[in-house]
Amino acid sequence: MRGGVVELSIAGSGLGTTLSLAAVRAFQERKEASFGTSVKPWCAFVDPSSSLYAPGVVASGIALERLLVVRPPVEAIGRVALKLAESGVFELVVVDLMGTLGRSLDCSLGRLGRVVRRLSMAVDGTNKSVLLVTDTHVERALPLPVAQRIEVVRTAADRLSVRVAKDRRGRISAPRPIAWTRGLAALEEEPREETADVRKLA
Amino acid sequence: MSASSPELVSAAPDEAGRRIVALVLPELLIELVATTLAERARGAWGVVLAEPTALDGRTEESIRPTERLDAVSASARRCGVRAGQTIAEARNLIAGFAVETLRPAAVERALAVIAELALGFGATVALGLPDTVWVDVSGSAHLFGGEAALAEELTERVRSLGHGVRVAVAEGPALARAVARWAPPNGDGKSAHLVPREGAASSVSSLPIVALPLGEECQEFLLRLGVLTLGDLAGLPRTTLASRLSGEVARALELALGKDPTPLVPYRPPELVREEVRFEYGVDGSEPLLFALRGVTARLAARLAGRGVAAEKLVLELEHDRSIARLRGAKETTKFGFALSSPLSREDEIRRVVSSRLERARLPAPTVTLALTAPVVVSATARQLELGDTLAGGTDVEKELPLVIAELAADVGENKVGVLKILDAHRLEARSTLAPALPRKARAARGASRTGPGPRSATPLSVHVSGTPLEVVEGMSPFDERAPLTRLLPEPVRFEGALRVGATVAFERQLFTIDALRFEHRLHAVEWWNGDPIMRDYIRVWLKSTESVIEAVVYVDRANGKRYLQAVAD
Repeated sequence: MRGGVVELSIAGSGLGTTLSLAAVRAFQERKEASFGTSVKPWCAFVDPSSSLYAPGVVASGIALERLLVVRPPVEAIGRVALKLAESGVFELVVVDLMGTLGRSLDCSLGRLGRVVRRLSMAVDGTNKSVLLVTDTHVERALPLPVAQRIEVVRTAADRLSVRVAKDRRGRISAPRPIAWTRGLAALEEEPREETADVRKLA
Repeated sequence: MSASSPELVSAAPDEAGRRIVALVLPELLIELVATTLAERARGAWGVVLAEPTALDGRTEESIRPTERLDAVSASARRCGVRAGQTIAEARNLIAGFAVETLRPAAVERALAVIAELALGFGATVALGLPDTVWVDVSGSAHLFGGEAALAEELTERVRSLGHGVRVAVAEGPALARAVARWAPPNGDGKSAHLVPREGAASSVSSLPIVALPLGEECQEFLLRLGVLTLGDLAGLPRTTLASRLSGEVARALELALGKDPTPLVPYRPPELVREEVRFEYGVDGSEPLLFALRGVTARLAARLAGRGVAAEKLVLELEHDRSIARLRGAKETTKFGFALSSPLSREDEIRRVVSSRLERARLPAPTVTLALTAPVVVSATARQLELGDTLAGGTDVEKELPLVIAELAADVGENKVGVLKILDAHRLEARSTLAPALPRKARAARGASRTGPGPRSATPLSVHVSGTPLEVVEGMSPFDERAPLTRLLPEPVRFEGALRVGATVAFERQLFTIDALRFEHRLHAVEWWNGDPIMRDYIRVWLKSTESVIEAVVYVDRANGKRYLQAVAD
């Protein structure tokens, strides 16, 4: 959704980063013409857990040199996100409010309502967007004032459940299962010879 | 201080076609005192320029009543007090007339800022205490659309620094200063006075005789004769005057005829660009500092623009009240360094970067001095305007991005902002790093020549997986065959469970069951050259919680058998 703030609400710890990077890739693929050549637009990723991994980002099809990564402390997330969005430089600003397994963030969403409103004002009427990645289970007094909230649960290695919980045009939906083939492909591989070593270690 | 001639004269320059701009700042002394003393914003008071040795605690009692005033405030002028009168005369007219002293060095510093700004308009500038800056614009006026346009732009620049200024363009510095200081306002609304090359004598004929840089005795003699203007002087026979006015007559007559061969003594700016503001009393918090920062950045940016350079580094230095800092056990000085990803020279850009750090600073004691220095400068690169961008009304990414990065770096730290970069390494944790987002072209080129080969080249690595060499090409590894690892923990987390399907493990107060696992990759005695060879087995695990599944990579340290969660494909 361009010109709005989208919340990607993840239950548990699954696929938040992968889906965010897919969004970045989609924005980067819309190249901008510049005097006969085309350049990929800049996107930004706010990574307070300092864990975004370059090989994984490249494998997601993203041009590293056009993705600005900022690693602020938790208390500066809102300030940094606002600076990025209000600058007007970045087509998509991904704000990770969740962290990852073993490095989850202690980030209160209660104080972010005002920040989200300012983010909405910054991108309103533009082609730019902000994607907030949040944890479904983090307590919040009120829902964040986003334009769209998508709830995602990875229910199995090969399956996702997706629900549009809020949409400013009213297009909400019930949870829908979606096949996730990438994880399944790995499981369906023939075990390597070295698996025996793993069994010994285990 | 009298309006004497400019600093003289080492060599006679070529006078053909010379054009000099004089910037006279009639209120400079008053402005300098008023910026540091809030109570002097209004009221009747005057300024005396005094050398540092004469300043004993800056009390009025230390100034003799026979001292002459160098400047007076507007209120004092309305009451009839003029510069040049003694303090005693002023106090006869105004009871309680206050006097402030100002060091000539402070005035010279203020003029130096104007001079550096003027460097952007001409190659040679000169200072004339207490109120004048000259700039030689011979051959450069056409770059600004003519002398009138140049003078107008220069006037605007000086006024943007908070100074009142009068401007004149003439053949020489003494003539230009006389016109700027004494000529009546233009009828056409323009602030600059232009003395044409041809017919200069008639242009300056109406100036009073006191406008000439003559001695007091000589001026009084001419006034007694009834010679009130330069036109009167030009009409006198030169041979008669020569016997009466020894020495000065030739120069006075030439000036009256519109000729001024006085050479300029070039001002050489200091190498280090530094601007500071001192507070009379220590100020608490960052709010007043942010206000003072506006003036400091304006002056710094003007000096940088005059030199044609941009700052690559900035240092903000705050000097605290010593006694309070000692009492609180804090440092007397707080310094903030700003390594800019792209050189900056504009006032608003510099202020944005510095204020983003200053507004969050917790200062240990009241601040008495704020100083901003540009220790590293590079040539400012002019960028051509793009009409298409302007018409489209979009954000100028090339201009805005370095500024955003500089702001963020000042806010969260330089090493926390950048783009990810893949490195050639065997260990997962060594394969990803955060590099500067914008390349520093010139420095990178110089650095490469100094430091030799630099980072390791992207030659293929050979990794031993169960004794079998595996070719790795740039950007690829055995992990890339599966779901890409998007997260790498800065510090590996101990994996306390057994590595088998069905085993239970806890992370961050959450229980997971191992749903599946696959061997990924073995590192055998790699980086042996460091003296501590690494031997690890990497295993991909699918961890299932009550509601979701997550894919992660665990490694087993074969030296001690301990297991660590290191990366996640989430």
